[in-house]
Amino acid sequence: MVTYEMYVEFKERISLVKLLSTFKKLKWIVDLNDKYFEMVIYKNKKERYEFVRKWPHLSEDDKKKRHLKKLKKEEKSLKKLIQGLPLKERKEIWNIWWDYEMGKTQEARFVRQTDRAEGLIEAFDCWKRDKNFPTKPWWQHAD
Amino acid sequence: MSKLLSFFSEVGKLKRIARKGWVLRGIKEPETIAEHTFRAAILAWFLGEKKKGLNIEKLLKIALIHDICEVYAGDTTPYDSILPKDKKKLKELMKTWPRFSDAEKKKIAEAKRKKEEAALDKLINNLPKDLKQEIKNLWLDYEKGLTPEGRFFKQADRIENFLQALEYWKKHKGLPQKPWWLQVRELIDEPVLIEFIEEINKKFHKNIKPRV
Repeated sequence: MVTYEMYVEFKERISLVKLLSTFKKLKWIVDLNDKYFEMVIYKNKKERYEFVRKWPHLSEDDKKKRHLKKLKKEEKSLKKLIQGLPLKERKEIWNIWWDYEMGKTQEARFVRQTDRAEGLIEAFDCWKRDKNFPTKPWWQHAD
Repeated sequence: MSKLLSFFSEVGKLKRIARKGWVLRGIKEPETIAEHTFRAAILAWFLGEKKKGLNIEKLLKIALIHDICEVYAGDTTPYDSILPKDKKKLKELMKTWPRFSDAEKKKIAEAKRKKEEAALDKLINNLPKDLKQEIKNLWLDYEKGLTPEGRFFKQADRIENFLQALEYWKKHKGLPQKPWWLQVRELIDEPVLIEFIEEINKKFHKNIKPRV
């Protein structure tokens, strides 16, 4: 952890901007779960350019952790969204969502894959409009 | 498969086409056609469950395809034939719900239907025959109100628009509500949807006391 004291100690040599940048990068290494969604922290255009050009390959353990964190967050969010609905609708939405997340039925598994395919088509359409748009991560993800 | 892919790419453009009614009213970053479709589908599904005998799968399919022709036909508003170039006049016009004679209404609706049908035919032209037929039938059902599902969705679609109008009214004070109230009064007769309008009214006007 980079602390303020460390900053004071090294203030002769590093600027606050550099420290903040290091801190942000450290956060990256620690918090792999959010890796893909925090690319905005790359102020440096070149770094960002390189980063968005590949799909993040994580270990099985990290994938599991990341999936669990996402699931918990979305579960909480869905509960909040549907809490005021009548019981019948609430149950139906919940069951459909759970089915999708867990891939319990054929339909859910199919939608899960079409969801990826839709992302790939969108990426491809973005690339048609802007030839610099990186489609590689979507190919890797679909793969 | 390559024809399906081209179709998906074309339909995907709806994610980026802003709804014209909001553009005319100067709403910044207004909803797109795809965004409207998404909520109209959910709204129709839930409210449709409250009406006995509706085929929800068909209702959802109608919802999903009802505006796809707008990829080529563009979004049409009831004001299109009388739009003034002058900004002040446009602002005034947007405070009203345009009134036309029955003959004019018929003519405008016919022109819109023809334009949209041609656009739809172009869009689905390369799809497999059975899919093409299904989409066309669902769209005609929505346009002409051929089945209970088509008629229900036509009104549910207006309700989504009404809800969006009140949300923008709340966010951007100054957006006139009157045209939407006049529109729903004129077009909605489905009991479930009338009940829902009352709910919307309660939510947005709970602090407004009736004038005595």
